[in-house]
Amino acid sequence: MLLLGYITMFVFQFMKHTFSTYLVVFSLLLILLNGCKQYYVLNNTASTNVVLNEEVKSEDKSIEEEIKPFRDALKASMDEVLNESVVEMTTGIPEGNLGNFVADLVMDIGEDYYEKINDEDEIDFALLNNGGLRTSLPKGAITRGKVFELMPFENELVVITLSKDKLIELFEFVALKSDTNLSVKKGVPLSKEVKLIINNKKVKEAYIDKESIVSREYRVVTSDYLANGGDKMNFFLNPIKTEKLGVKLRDAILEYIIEEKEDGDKLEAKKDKRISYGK
Amino acid sequence: MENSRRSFLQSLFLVGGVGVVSQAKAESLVVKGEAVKLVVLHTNDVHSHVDPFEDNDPKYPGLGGASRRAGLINKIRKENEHVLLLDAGDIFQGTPYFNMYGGELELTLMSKMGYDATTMGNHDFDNGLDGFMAVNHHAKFPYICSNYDFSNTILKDKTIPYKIFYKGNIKIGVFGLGVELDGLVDKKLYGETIYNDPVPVANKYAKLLKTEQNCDLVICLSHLGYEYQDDRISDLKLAEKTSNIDLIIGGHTHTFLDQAKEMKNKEGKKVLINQVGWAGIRLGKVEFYFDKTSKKVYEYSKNGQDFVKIK
Repeated sequence: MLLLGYITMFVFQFMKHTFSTYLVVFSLLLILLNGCKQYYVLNNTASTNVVLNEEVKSEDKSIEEEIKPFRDALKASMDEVLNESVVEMTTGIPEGNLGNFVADLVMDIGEDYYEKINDEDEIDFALLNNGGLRTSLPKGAITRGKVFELMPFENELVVITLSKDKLIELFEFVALKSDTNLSVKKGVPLSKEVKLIINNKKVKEAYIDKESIVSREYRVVTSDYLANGGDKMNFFLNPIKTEKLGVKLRDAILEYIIEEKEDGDKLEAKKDKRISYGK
Repeated sequence: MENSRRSFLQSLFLVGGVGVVSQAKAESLVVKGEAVKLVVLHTNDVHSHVDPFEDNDPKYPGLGGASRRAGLINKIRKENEHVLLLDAGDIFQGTPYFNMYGGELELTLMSKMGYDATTMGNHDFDNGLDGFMAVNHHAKFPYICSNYDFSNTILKDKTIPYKIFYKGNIKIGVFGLGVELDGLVDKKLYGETIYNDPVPVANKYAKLLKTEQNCDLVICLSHLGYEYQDDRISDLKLAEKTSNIDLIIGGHTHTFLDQAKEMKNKEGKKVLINQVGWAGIRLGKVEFYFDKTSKKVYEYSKNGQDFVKIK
């Protein structure tokens, strides 16, 4: 458009300056003007996102004052001692006392919640993942903050109904992940109802409540993250049934720890060879 | 006589032609009163990150924090007359502040910071519609939701489908899009909320705002996500499939962009998409310069030259 304008003006210089030529040029200009946009163009995107690091020195004191009572109350709540543990709890392969502890309490609390939504069926066992247990539990005081550290995610408990074939797939997966050469994070904690004997990454024997696996439906309580195929637990995909318990994994842990305290019990956990290597 | 005629013609060219200016030049036009500058500040997926990350955080040591964000916003407001402060959802969930107080503190702080609007992210349903309503009165800004139909829920009439803001003589239309809830959020949390296809909804509201309401700028608050490998609708796809949107402020995929991404819309016109990761680690900033009289926004061109006045 600008170029056309220049050409018009160039031509204009060499024309006789009669009134009629003025008119022609003006008309031409008006046509050109109507056809073009009346704005400027910026020479780059006027957008720069600012990183909020220590170089941003402009804190807002009134916001800080607003936060403080919430932060203080939150800190007090997080520092609250909920119970005591008689042992240090850590994850392990093929089993660790922390995995056993959480899997057993998930089974325990899961059964309470399951009764409320399904009074016909029963859960067979609980399954979790070491990767989701984000810290160890110390011997001694267990604070609410420690439980948030252990389980920072918002995963909820679900009960998955599996066929016998899928259950066998599940046990084969556990056997594969119970290889001592793997990172401890890969381990799969199971609740005490299960007894699994592994040889050379394969399932040698498997029992639930001391009974062999038969052709029936099995119910597993786990986190929705794993139920959705998290950690490549594909045996959970397309199950016979999925039932949500409406309780978060972290809240189940908190509930159990507080209940134990109310019953006068300290927290205990041990390895009991529920998953073991054998011939 | 001849010289004055020529300068008259040249001034016509100047007004009518597409001139290319640098941001510094645009700023000088604002000072002269020939242009209006609008600064759009935005966040997304702050996820209850009221405090900065711990100094020993492996990924984001010492970054973020509401107080620092508020300070920066105050500073930008002091330097600029026309500022719009927006959020693209997922205010809730991610720190014990949410678990303990249900979102009260997050909404109180955003109100104090003077947020102009937000839209619903999937995690804003995390305490259910009841939980949302329990703290909603702490939000002194609207939830703009254009594709969620809440009419059969307790959120009926608690959100708005669009809002028009006036900054200087500039009219800005904002609407909001939420992500599909089925499979992402537990049904018992969102209840009878109906999710409508974002593309026709976006076209409907963008057209209404741009052509019927004559807005000079149309902004879409989107919690759809920036980009996916599969065929889910994303901000990149939304930009291509719609008209009349100037800026998409995105969220959900926690995508860190250093600056807004330029895309072409259905009609080949420019659309900007911006998203600033999550947890309040960054503050998004997009600046628009409008010609004061035509109210046209100065377009962006990456390889343009500085404007040279014709002598």
